[in-house]
Amino acid sequence: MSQPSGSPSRAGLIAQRLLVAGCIASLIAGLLIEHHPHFAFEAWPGFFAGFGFLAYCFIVLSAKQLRPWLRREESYYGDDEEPADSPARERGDD
Amino acid sequence: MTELLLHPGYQLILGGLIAAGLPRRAGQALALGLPLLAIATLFALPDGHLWQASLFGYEITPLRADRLGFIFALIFLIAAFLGQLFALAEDSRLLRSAGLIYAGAAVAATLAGDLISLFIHWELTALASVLIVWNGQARPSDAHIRAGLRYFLLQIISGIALLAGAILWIRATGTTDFVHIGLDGPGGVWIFLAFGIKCAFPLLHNWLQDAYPRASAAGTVMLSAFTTKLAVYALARGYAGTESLMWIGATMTVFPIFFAVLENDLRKVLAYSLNNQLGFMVAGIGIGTSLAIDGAAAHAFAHILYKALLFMAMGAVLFRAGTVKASELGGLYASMPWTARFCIIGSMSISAFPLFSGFVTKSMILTAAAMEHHMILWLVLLFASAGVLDHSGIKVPYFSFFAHDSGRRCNEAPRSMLLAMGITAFLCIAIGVYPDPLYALLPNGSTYKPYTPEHIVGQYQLLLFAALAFVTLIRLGWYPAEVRGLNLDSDVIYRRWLPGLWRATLMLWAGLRGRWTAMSGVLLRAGRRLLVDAFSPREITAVWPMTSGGLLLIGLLGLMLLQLVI
Repeated sequence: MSQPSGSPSRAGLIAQRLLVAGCIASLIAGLLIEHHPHFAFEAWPGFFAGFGFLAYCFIVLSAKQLRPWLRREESYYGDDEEPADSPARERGDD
Repeated sequence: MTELLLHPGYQLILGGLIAAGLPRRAGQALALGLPLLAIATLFALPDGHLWQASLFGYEITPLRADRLGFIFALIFLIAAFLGQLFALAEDSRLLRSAGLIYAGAAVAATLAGDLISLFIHWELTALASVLIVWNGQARPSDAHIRAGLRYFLLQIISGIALLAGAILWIRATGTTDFVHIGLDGPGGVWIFLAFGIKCAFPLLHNWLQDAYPRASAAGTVMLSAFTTKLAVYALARGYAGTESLMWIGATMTVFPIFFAVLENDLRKVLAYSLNNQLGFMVAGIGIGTSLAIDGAAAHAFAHILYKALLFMAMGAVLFRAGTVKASELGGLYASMPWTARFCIIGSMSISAFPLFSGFVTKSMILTAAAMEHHMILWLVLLFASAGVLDHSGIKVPYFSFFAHDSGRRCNEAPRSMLLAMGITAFLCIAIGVYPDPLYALLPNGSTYKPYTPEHIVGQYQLLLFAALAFVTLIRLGWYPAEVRGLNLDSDVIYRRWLPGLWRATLMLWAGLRGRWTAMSGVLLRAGRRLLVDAFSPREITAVWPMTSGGLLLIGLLGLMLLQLVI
C-alpha cells in the first residue's frame, strides 16, 4: 500500500515534530499533576496515552481488514446510485 | 390566532409557507429574519403549560415551555438561522421554504406538551425534510428519487409506530401528556421504536447515511441539525434512565467508526460520525442521572454546531470543487484557506480538544458514567473518542485540504458561506472557552467543572497519542488508501437482499404455477378419460363431455343444497 504522503513536506515535518513534543509534554504533565481517579487505572502513568495510541491503531487496522468484505463497486445498487458529484460552481453569488 | 403567531415553531412554519411565494430578496430576508424573531419569542415565553386546545375530544398542549424543551428549541432556531445563511449562495426557493418549515416543525415538536401534537410535528419534519433530500439534484435521477423515498418511508414508519404507541398510551392512561413513558409503559415499546428509528439506533440507522449525503451543500447542513436531535430530545423526555439505552448508545458510538474509516465520500463520513456522536447522547440518557441528562442536552447543543460547521466546510468544497470524494481531493488548502481553517475548528471541536465545545460537553457524559461506576461503558466511550479523532478530526480535513495535491484549483467559498462558517466556528470556540452560559441553560442545572488539570492532561494524552498513531500508520504506509467504491451496511438488507428474496419468491411462484398448470392438465385429461369418456358415446365432440360433467356436478350440488334446506 503506497500512500502518496509517506514522505512529508517541510511543513508536515515541523507539524510532526510539534506533535511528538506535545506527546512528551503531556506524558510529563501526567506525572506532575494530582490524580483523583474514578477507576484506579486512570492514575497509571500514561494510561490515556497508551489507550489512545492502541485504540487508534486497532480501529484503523481492523477497518482495513473489513474492507475486502464490505467494499463494492459504486454501481453496486444500479447505475448512478451513489451520491453523484455535482457541477463545480466557480462563481457563487453572495 | 395571536397564540399561533406567538409560537416560535409556528412562526417558522408560517414563514416557510409565505417564503414559497416570495421573490429572491424578500424570501432571503424572511428566511434570515424569522429564526431571529423566533429566538426572541422563545426567550419571552414564561415557563409552564401555555397553550391548550381540544382536538377530537382530547386536551392537547401545542405549546409547553420547560427547560428541557427550551434548550433544544433554542439550538434548533440557531441552526435554522445558520443553515439559511449558508444557503444564501445556493439561492434555492425550496431550501428557504422547506428549510423554515422543517426547522419550525422540529421546534414545535420540542415544545409540544402532548403526544398528539408531537406526532403531528414529527410527521411534518419528515415531509419537509424529504423535499430537502430531493432538492439535492437539479433534475433528480431515478436513483435519487428512490433514495428520497427510502428515507421518507423509514420516517413514516417511525411516525406510524409513534401513533400506535400514543394511542395505546392515551387509552391506558387517559391523558395525552408527553411525560416519562419508559419501556414498560403502555405502548412504550412502540414509542421507543419510533424514537429509535429517528435516532438512528444500530440497524435502524442506515437511512441517515443513505439520504443525508445526497442533499445539496446547504441541504445537508439543515438535515444534520434537526431530525436526529429531535429524537434525542424525545428519548430524554420519555426514556431517561432506561438501562438498555446505555448499551444501544455504546454500540452506536463504536460501529459507525469502522465505516467512517473506510468511506470515501466525506459527507458520508460525517453522516457516520453524526451517528457516532448520537451514541454519546443516547448513552447519557441511558445513564439517566441529572448530570448525564444535562450532559446529553449540552452535547446535543454543541454537536449541532460543530457538525453543522463540518457539513458546511464539506458543502463549500462540494460547491466549489464539485466533489467530496476523498480519492479525488487533496491540497485544497491553497484554494480555500478559510474553509480549511473553519473545518479544522469543527474537527477540533468534535474531537473534544480542550478549549473547544466538544470537550466541555462530552466529558459530562463520561464523568456521569464514571460516577455511576459503569466501567465498561466508560471504556467504550473513551475508545469511541479515539475513533472520532480519526474520521472527523483527521480524515475529513486531511484528505480534502492537505494530503497529496490533487491538482484541483478553485475559488474560496462564497462570502455568505464563509460568514455562516465563521459564526458557527466562533460559537464552537466560545462554548469551549466559556461554557457557563450553556451550563446555565441545562434542564437540571448541573454544576460541572470541565477544566481540571487531570481532565485536560488525560484528554491531551488520548488525542495527541491517537494523532501520533495516525502519523505512524501513514508513514509506514499502513493507513488504508482512499479508493472509490461503496461499503455494504445494513441498507443491503432492504436494497439488495429483500428485493432479491422477493424476486426469487415470484420466480418460484411462477415456476410452481407452470408446473401446476401442466400437472392439472394431465390430471384433467386422465380424469376425463376415466369419468366422462367412459360414460359417454365416442362420437360426441370433445366439448360435450366437459359440459355434461359440469352439468352433472351442478345437479349434484343442487340436490345437496336441497337436502340441507329440507
